Amino acid sequence: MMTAIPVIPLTVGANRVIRGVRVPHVVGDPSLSVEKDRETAMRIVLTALRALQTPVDEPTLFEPAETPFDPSLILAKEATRAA
Amino acid sequence: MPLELANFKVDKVVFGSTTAWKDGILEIDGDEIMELVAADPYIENVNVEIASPGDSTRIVNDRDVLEPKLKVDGPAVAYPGITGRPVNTVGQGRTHRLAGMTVISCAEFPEVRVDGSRTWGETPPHQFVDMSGPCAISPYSALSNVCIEMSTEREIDADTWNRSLQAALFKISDRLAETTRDLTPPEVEVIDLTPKPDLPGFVFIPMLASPEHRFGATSSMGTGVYGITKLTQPWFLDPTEMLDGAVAGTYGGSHVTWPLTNSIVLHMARNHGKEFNFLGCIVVRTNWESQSDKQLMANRATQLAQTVGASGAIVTTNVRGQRFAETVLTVQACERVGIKVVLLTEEEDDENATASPILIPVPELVAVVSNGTGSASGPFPAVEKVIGGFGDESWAAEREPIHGRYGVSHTSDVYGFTKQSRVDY
Repeated sequence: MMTAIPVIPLTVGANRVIRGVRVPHVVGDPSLSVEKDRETAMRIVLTALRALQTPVDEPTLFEPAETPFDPSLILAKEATRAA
Repeated sequence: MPLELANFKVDKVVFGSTTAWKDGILEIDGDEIMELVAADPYIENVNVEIASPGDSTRIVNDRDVLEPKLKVDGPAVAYPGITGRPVNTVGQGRTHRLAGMTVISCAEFPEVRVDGSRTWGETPPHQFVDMSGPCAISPYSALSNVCIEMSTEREIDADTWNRSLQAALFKISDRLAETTRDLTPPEVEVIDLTPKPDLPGFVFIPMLASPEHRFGATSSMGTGVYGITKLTQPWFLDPTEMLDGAVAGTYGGSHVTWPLTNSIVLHMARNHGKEFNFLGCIVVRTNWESQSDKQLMANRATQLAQTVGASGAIVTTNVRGQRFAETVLTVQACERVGIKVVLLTEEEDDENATASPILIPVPELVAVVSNGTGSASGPFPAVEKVIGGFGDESWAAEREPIHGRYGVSHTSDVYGFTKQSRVDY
């Protein structure tokens, strides 16, 4: 579950919880530059993919800040869009 | 500095040819009261009604409820800041209060449709006050209420309309309180919160939703501290400031203006120096948008409580949902530094015992007083008179029981002041 308020799903028993940004924009941050907003979104999505591949035996919080991230992914995405 | 509360008890409100308080009877000149509001071009129709305990009356579309108060010395005014009133610090000197009565603004509210046009919104079917019968469980059911019905035909936005309603409410409240200015009070209660030695120190921590996320930083559409409704770090207020109305205004359907001057703060102030010292009130704004913001506010509130030497706290929460996160994080932060907390809250619907009655049941939450689920067993008998129905006759009919659940509360009771039945554990 991606959420801006992890304490709620963690206490009610969701297995995998990914920390999002803010209540009105969970997966992204419109106050950032386009590049940083995209990085934020990709980090959260990559964290969700990492969480799905991680065995858990209790409600577990996954932090996007701890997910390895290669900035060239954004450049690659831009290149794909340009093409 | 102590606060003197001069209590002018109101046993009954009646219409008359003048506006005056005498021996527990408040006489009001309805025409004079309506004239006070007539200058506002947005309020096209105004009507004054009285609802007394025992009347076969239902009050609908209540927007805010307050007790008339008057500061009689110094530059400060009661209910400071809201609707542009002076922000001089309150909580000292003498305050006259018309105890046992309220002024209630009644109005429908505009909603913005998806296409940007406006309509008068639906009134939630669970929000009304019965003055008699088995469901007269609201605190206002036991008080004499001067109700101001206001309406307009204009296409108006919610904040503009709300500012007119608030201004009208305070003009009328001020006028009623003014009747006592030159009178000798029958009773003066001195609230002196000088700490006594060897007693534990308690604070009151009301969590109060900010409307900033929906309506912007300067909106009138919520509870303000000296009129400030936006998201701010926690405020430390002297309890006597609270008693003078330093925190006022309604957020959604959650009335706090009357409760904050009449329930927990007053009770704690009256018991100061007996079993505990009442050290202060810490107002924590809720509706922060990320958990780290919520956590920070919880930490700062706890820091304030520690600074003043609190060993115990009463925490309340005024709207459920994500507002409850700040509440629970504050309870948790206080308990972790050794400040014992009692949380007063409504319960969530337990969905036939399949769900937690507390949205976020952290281990540190060890002492909770439940104020019910907002349900009322009903049915609510038909009434002879509806105030604030604005032509909708269906409000007078018998109404079904109300099942309290998220967003549905017949009587929002986070301060524990209603006449709901209860179970002691």
